[in-house]
Amino acid sequence: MGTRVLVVEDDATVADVVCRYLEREGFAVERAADGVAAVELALAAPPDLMVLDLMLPGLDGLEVFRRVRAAAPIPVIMLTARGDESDRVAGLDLGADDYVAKPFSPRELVSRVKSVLRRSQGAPAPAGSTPATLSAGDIEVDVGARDVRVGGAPAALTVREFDLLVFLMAHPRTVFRREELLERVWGYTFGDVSTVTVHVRRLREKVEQDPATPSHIRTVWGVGYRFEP
Amino acid sequence: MRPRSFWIVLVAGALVVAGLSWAVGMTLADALRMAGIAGGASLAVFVLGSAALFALRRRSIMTQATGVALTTIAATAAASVAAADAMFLSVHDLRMLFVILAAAGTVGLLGAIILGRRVAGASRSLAEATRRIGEGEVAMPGAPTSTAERSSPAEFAHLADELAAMSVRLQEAHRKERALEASRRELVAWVSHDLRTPLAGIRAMVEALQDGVVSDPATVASYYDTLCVEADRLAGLVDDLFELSVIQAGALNLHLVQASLSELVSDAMATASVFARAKGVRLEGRMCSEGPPLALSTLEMTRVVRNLLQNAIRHTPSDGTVWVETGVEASQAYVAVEDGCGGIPDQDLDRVFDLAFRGTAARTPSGDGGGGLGLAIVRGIVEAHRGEVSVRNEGQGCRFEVRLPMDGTAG
Repeated sequence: MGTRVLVVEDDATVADVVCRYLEREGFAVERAADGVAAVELALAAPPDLMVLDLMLPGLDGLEVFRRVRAAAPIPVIMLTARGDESDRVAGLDLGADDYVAKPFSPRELVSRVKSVLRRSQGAPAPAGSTPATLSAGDIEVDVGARDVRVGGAPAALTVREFDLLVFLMAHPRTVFRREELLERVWGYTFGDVSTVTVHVRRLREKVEQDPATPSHIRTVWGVGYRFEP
Repeated sequence: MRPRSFWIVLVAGALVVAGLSWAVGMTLADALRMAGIAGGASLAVFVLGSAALFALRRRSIMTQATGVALTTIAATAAASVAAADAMFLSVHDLRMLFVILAAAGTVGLLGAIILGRRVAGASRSLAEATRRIGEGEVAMPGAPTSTAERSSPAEFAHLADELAAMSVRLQEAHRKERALEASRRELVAWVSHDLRTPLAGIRAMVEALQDGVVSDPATVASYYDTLCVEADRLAGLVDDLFELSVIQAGALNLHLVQASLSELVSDAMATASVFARAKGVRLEGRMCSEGPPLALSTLEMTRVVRNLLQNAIRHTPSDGTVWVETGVEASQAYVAVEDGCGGIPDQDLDRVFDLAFRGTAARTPSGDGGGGLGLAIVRGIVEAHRGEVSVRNEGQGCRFEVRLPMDGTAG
């Protein structure tokens, strides 16, 4: 049985196109047009990935996300038609793996689906040769075991946050633009760089002593980010 | 002192003086002389007291009240002393008079201080109430909050009531402001979401056609059809948005002509019947009474009726009925549309005419183009015609009513 993707989208046109694209790539695709059906489907037979529209009849997308995630760690890519940046990243803040703003390119969505699946199915980080363990200050990372400790206490990082941290720690004092990070950590050659911004913010909250004045993941003003050991 | 009360006191005082001098058997000449001496001495003190009060005019109410009392007492004392001197009383009697005056003066002054304190207290509590209103607290009219307010003089009590009423009006204005702000935010969210949704469909379909993801002729043809529908939907939304922004900017230009509302309703029903048949909804109606022609913009009023009919048909299940009624009642022409939507929760009834309000959380517009701006547009146009629109639950659904004044001076 192939990789199963659940598409939750109430707009029939968009759902149809997305399903066709995913089927063409060889995925087994299921569809749900409302939140309640989505939760039922996802809990009955957890898919490998869920594409989830945020505004749904019956049950709001964020609520669907919470319920599904409470039961199983299914990777989720969110679709949102809201323009407000804070609404857009609300899903990421909850821990979604990625989001795509409408109107979007179905081609781009498919490449994100593949990228998220690659990561969640345990492929090595696209960071090239990385040492088995990394440490800086009170941050210790066991790359092989995907284990992060801050001051001895385990830190719960999502797949992308972990990749981002490992990539930055493996290249200390090197400045990366957001686009570069998006390409080298996420594997996207296009897309919305605010994904990077949100992940950096979340990562700082998890590994920095004082996330407001980070001592490791430093902002290089007007350029990007740099890791300071 | 008001001129009227001034004259009343003057005349009453003269009468009392005349009456008393007659009663004690004084001659007219004696009475006039004594009154002149006493009045002159009082007047002299009063002039001095007035000058002192003028100097004190910016001091506290208590100081001023004490000043008034002191002036009155001093004037009485001066009059008594002058009169006593004129009557050649014995030195002993004159000294007695001083003792009496000192005692009476002290008591009078104490009374003035107590009175002044009360007035000053009332004024302070009024100032306190004003400060609270300024900080956004609501005072209820006629509900004094402290003892000082309850026992305050009439003018202060009146002022306190005025302040309380003003605070209620202020509160109402704040509430309206917040509601308007919320509906603006909702509109922005609406524009952002509802314009993106058809765009997302168009974008996805075009790319699918480009990439050859759909290739069999039947599907390709249906994609082209859907593209047209989505583009129309987008155009409809842009139209609605334009109309609404014109209404909100107060720039709605009504070309008023004399027209019959019932005829306009009949035309709109004929147009909407196609949509109703497609959905399996019965569209029925009755003209209760033919009113005189009204001054209205046929274009805009047709839009009102069309929006109401579309809204009703959209929310009525197939095999249901939409009932339309038009007529004249209480010097107003009206059109009422009843649907089979199953009713609107009471707390939402007020909001159906708000921008972008939808009964359900699902915000993806159904294929029939329900943009959520239709009823807001209805209200805008009806109000521009000086009419009113209302909604209430009735029977299987709800009843929307538009009422227009018949005095023909719309706009």
